[in-house]
Amino acid sequence: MLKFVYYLIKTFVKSDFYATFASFMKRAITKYWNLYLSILVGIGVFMFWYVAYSHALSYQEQYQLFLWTGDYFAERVSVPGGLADWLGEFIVQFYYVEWLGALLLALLYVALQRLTARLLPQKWGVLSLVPVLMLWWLMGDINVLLSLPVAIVLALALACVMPRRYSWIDAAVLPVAYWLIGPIVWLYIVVRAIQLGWKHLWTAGWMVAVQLMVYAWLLPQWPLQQALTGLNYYRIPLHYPQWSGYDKDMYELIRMDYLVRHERWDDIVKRAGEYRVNTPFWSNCVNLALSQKRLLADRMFDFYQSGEDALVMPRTRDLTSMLPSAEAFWRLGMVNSAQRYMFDTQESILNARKSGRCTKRIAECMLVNGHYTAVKKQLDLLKKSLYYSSWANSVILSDDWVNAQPEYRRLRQLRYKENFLYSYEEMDKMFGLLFMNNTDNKMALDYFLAQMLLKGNLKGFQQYLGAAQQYGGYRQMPLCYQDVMRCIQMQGNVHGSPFANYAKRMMGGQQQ
Amino acid sequence: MKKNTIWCWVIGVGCWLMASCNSTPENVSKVDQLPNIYPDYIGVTIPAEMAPLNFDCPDADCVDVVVKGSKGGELHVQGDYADFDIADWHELTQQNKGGQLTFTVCTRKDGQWQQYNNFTVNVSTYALDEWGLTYRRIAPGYEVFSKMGLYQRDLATFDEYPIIENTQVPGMCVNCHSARQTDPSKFVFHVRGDHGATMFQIDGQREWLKASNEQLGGSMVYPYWHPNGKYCAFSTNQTRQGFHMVAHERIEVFDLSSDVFVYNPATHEIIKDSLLSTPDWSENSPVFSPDGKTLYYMTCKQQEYPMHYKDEKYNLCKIAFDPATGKYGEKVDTIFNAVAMGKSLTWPRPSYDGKYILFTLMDYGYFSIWHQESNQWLLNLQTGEARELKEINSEKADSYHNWNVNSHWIVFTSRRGDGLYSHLYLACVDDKGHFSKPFLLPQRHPKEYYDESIFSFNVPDFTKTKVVFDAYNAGREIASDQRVETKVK
Repeated sequence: MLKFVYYLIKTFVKSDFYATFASFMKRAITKYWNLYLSILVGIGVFMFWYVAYSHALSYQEQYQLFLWTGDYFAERVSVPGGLADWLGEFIVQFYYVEWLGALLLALLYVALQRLTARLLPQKWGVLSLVPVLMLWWLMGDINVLLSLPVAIVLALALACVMPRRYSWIDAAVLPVAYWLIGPIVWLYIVVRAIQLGWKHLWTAGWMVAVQLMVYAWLLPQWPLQQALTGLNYYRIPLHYPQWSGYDKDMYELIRMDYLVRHERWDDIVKRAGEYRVNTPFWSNCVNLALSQKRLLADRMFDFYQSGEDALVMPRTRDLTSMLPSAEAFWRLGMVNSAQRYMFDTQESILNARKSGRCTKRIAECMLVNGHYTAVKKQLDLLKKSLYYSSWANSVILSDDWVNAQPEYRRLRQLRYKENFLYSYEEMDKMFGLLFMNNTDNKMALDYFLAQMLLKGNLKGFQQYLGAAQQYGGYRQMPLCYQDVMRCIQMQGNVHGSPFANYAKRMMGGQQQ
Repeated sequence: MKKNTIWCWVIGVGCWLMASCNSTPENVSKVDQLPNIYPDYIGVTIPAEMAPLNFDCPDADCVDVVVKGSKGGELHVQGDYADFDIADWHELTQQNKGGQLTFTVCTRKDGQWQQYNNFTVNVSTYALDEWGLTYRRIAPGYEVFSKMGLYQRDLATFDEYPIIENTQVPGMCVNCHSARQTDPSKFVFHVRGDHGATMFQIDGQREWLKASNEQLGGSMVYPYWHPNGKYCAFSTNQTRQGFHMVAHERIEVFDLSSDVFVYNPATHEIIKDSLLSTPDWSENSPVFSPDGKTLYYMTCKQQEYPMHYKDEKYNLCKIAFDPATGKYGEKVDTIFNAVAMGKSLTWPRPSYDGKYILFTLMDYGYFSIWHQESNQWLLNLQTGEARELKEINSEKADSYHNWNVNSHWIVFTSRRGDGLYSHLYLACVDDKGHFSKPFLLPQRHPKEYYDESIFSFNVPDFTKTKVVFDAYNAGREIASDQRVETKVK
């Protein structure tokens, strides 16, 4: 048998068929290597964002609210680079469906690679991977907007289609191209200069003149620096992309926020056991997940606790920090605070875009609070989007409808009935009042006792421990509370006690 | 194939024409009621110079409107909404000054035309002596804001122009702009944020004052120009915000302390007085009388905040001021005791003819936009009597107001639309102090504009001419942080 197989292989190798096949493959590889490279790029990009970094897509999607209206398009294209901005946002809206977002990103990268390959001499085709890799690394900076890669692709596409014979045509093309894709049009100028020779560099002077004229006549409310370098490639005005790549801790926090957004509590707890980032944001996410699984009272000190801000962060002017706190407020029944944190988060988006996620939650807060006239604006916005419209269209502005939604009805029952002013410094008391307001609010009870422990208010903890036993619904005293009581009895000398470790760290002012 | 394409086009265009709004009302049925129009312009009084009162009939597919002037002239428009040509409108209103415009409205719904009862709009004989309005536009939020700015609006058209937007300096907030008796040749506003300053523009020359003065103990807030343009009154406030926890309340603003002073731009001197900087009272929101000899301001017994925020209640006081020497009088008079009524007074604004002070009355505090109960009141300075302006008030935060220079028009903010977003309303004041029904600031397509706007309009004021402000250089100057020091006299 083995002899027979050996004979067959020998015959095949020696035959003309093998030679023909090998020759065919060689020609195919030579001829289609660019195609294979593109497929490789496409698959690689898709897998990267869909499998490994889908949370990054969610992060980008939540800081815009793309509206399918003529006004929205007109507003975008009313400044230089507006078309690239609009197209970028158009694609980013599909990040809501992660596989679709990853697919569109893959296609964009493939377009970049193929356009680069087309502009390069054939023998240098492999260099078409360089811009792909550079862009991939650059997009690790979370504030790089998709308008940048879109503008790059459009600039290269323009360079591919423009006739080389009539270089003077650039005098007319450049102002239009600048208006549509912004200062990335300089890439086009460089490519054309390489294609047509240095005599073509007059276009550089022309471009400077165009930019200055546009600034002087059409951009009275923008600083010159931004007008020259781009109004909408980067989320933070007057800042520029960093070659920071994919910072592990930052993306871990983004992952946590993504898991909170999708209420994947088990995944958060599991992930928290595998990797931790010592920040209040991380603690907020983990504690929220624990509370939703009713594990807070058992396990909170098994995980890193940042301090008094481990349950809810104070107001911070940035577009991410307050999100898990807002989610906690919402589930606790502190609807006004949830609305405030979401609103301030949305207003912290420095390129002044709205957020689909925030707008929806703000609308929900207004619905729970019965602000039916004011909420129309938020709902009307959402109705003009692709992925939030079905929810917005399902809303009926009446108490009957709101009360028929189990979550909203529950929150209405949990809300404060007596008014007072929010005080972050007295968060434990606010949680306590919330619990007293409705003793079915077990999350408020857990947060109340947890906040006292985080503050080191052991006297208060002991005072209200009875409430935990009476209303907590625990079969036995939660492990964390047992541990705390042991620490109190042993004056902190409990070897291996998670709470004792936390207390020591806080007293020592150390960050583990 | 070609023939088919042509037929498709013919049928398509035909369908479009049939569906579009361009047919003469036929078989019109009469409805014995006024039309449901947005904004509600029924029975309002407008200046002849005002932009057209375009309106929507929200329930209709098509609107047909005929406007006839009592002194002649007629307009006819038809479309998705009533959209009048600006030139034609002005011709009609000028022709009918002191007369009435009668609107005949027909609407089409599901192919059926209906005609409603006519309504009228009065064209006032009082001129609008201003070019337009200035205001701040900002989302009604909490502590953070994204895009915002100061804007000006041509009242004869629908054109709006930014004076300065915070795109110039990211993260910046601009607020509390003020012009001298609506004349923007003397203009002031504040910049808040990392590049804080108080901007004075006098006859085209800009000056950026340091945001706060240590001797003053804070920054300059709530400006009001002296009629001679040589002084500007301010308060300095230690302002804090509180956030309510129940559904029907949102934000509370209170001052831990505040004082009132007058600033002399020529010498950069701050003129203080112990009567206006008392330790136990908060003096706030100063304004000059039109003759410049009296400084009105509001004052409140300081409370323990935030605990007793509901006890923050202001009265209206006055003190003499000598513009020649820049000195204050020696006694303070209370001219409206709101506290005795269990209320709090805010935003006093004297009419430029010296007859009245318009102010807002609320249950407590002074930041009236967050108080649904706040209402407009008028104090007659000749009789000393005050009355609630029921003819212009609503149930939803009628607040910040200003007079035009001939004191026959006011602009104020109100949240009567939806309870959250402040919009601008104008009303006419006759010689006897009667106010006409207020009307929402006209827009080209009002329903679309106001439905889609996610901004509140704050601190409105009339402006005699268009504000000339070099935003390019202003942006650079703000970012430069070069500031002029002020000194306390």
